[in-house]
Amino acid sequence: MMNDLLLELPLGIDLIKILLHLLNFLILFVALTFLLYKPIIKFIHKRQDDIKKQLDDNANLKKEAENLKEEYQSLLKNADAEIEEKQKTAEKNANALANETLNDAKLKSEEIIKNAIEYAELEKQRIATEMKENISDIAINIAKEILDKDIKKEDNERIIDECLKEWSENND
Amino acid sequence: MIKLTITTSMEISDEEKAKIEKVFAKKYNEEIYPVYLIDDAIIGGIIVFDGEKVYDGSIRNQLTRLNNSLSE
Amino acid sequence: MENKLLNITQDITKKLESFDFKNHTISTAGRIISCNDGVLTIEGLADVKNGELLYISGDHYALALNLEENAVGAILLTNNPSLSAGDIVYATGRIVGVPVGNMLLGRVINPLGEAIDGGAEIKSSRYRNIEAAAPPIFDRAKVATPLYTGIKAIDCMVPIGKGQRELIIGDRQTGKTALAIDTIINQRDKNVICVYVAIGQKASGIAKIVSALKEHDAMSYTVVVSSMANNPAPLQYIAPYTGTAIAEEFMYQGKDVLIVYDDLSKHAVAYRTISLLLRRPSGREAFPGDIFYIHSKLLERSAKLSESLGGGSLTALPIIETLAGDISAYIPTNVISITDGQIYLESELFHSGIRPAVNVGLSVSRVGGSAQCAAMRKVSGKIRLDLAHYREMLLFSQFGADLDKSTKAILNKGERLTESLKQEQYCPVSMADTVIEMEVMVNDLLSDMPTKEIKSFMDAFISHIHRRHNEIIKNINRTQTLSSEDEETIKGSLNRYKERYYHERIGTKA
Repeated sequence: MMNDLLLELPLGIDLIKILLHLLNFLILFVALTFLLYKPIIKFIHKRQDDIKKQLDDNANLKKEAENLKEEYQSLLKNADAEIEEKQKTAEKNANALANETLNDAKLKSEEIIKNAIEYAELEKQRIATEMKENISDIAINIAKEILDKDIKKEDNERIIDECLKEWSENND
Repeated sequence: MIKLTITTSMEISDEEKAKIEKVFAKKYNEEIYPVYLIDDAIIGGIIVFDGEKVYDGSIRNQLTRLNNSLSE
Repeated sequence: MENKLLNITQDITKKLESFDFKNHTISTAGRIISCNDGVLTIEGLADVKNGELLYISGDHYALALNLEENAVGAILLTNNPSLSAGDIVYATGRIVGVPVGNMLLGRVINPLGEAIDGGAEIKSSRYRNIEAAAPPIFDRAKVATPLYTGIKAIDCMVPIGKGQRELIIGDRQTGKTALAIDTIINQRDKNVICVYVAIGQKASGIAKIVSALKEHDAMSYTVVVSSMANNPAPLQYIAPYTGTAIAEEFMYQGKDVLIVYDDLSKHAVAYRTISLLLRRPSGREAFPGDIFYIHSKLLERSAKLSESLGGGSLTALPIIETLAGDISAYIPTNVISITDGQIYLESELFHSGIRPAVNVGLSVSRVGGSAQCAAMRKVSGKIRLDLAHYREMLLFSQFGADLDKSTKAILNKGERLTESLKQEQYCPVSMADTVIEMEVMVNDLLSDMPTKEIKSFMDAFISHIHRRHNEIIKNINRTQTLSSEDEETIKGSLNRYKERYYHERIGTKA
């Protein structure tokens, strides 16, 4: 039978050889599909995914950066406000302290003035008393000087008589 | 017998002395033994000391009392 | 001024006219038999009382102390009078008394009430006998209010109450007088009147003290009674009684008074001199038999009066000088048994830089906690314990052996506590500041700071608290306690301040 077929085809085309080549090609085709085609496609898909992922990441990062920038700006704004507030309180405290010191100083000065007035009064009284004493002292010293020089015997005896009279009276 | 120390600023007459002794003898009802001292610091008058009491009739004492009362 | 002069002349003329020249004086008198070493033997004066003041012409005074059948023994209160046998001695009829009242504040007087500060004569309408009975039991109240000395070590661990007697005892040059003067200075604005009695001290020392008091504005509420070393022994003897009489006047007016007797050792010596000259029998160390009595009758007059008598108080700080730290000598043991506690100053501590040189272990206050506010009481118990542990471990550590962690911690804490209790002279610390500082130290919050820097740091921190957290100070002063919130605030503030302090220091160092 084979031989018959072979004889029927002129041109020397070997049917069997053609079929074998076809089979060869089929096998190669299938093999290459599995060995080459599929991995390459897989690789291409993977690359596609990677690129997509990168693009997404970039988008996210950009978004994050934008958020951070916003946050940062608002923080700065707050910091300014806080500093202003702190300055205000510090000023208030300083003012309060200054007022307190002022009041203390005022009270102290009032007290000093009051004390000074009291002291002046006392001094005045003291001087008056001192003068009184001085005058009495001077007067008595004068009397002493006079009497010291001028007592005569008779006057002295008269004085003694008066004393005696008084002392003998006191007895009864 | 009581010892009396009598101080005067100057010499006094004997009559005066007798007067003094009489007054004090009557006061104590006893005999007096007088001791007379002269001290011109008392200025005038008489101080009599009987061992327990002092009778100060001196001018110095009067001046002192005057001074005290004036400075009250 | 014109009409004042007119008044004066009118006054004098009137008095002259009304003067009775005839009323010659008759006074009780005696005559000096002998005069030895300031002791007079007088015949006569049969009616004179014990302790009566005698007058001899020429402005000399004597104190009648020995009353015998035929003679009176009196001691001269004036220096070097030229007396001779036969001079007349007058009885004044009054027990030795002093002028009392507000006009004495700011003055320096001698024990007879005469001014020795060069100022005006002391004139008062009220006189008080220097000898007086102590308040009886039912007139007294319990000692319950604190008297702040301004010295951290004392206010914390040996607190003094108003009405207490607290002895200050130590060797010479240990800071006894400085302690007393600091206490007086701390009483400014606290409504406490102070009396400082100087017995037998050098005139230069007294001048220094008076100028220190003036400098710190303390003279306006202080009376100084001064009997210097050259005054006759009788004057030194009556000095503390004079001071007490002056103080009692204020006490019975309902005021709080502080009196310092500086010092009673010299007082005892003066009394011994008098007794020996009066030929009274002598006992141990040649002191007379009633040497205990002269101090006990003096110190018993310090008391806290009951409300019915005005609630005044008299707090006494007697000072005794020991020789070589011997507190078991005659006079020190006497006075220790009379007082309600003692503050013991040691010269070793003084020379090693711990000033005030208070030996916390031996110092005691028998009134203690009941005269302390709650805030202080809380801290003081812990501090005493810590210092006691520290002292034990200190001896131990001198052996140079390796120490375990807990011992090191105790030593650390004790060293810092001791450092923070040091204080400069004339720098009193208020109660609130002491409470805050002790709170910090007792909780060991500065254990990481080198000991040398603790003082300056604490000073800065306290002023920081005054500036920033003034309400804590106000709370403590108002409620007398330290609330737990205030405690937390202090701790927090301390941590923050520590960081700042270090940053600044590092900054300045770089």
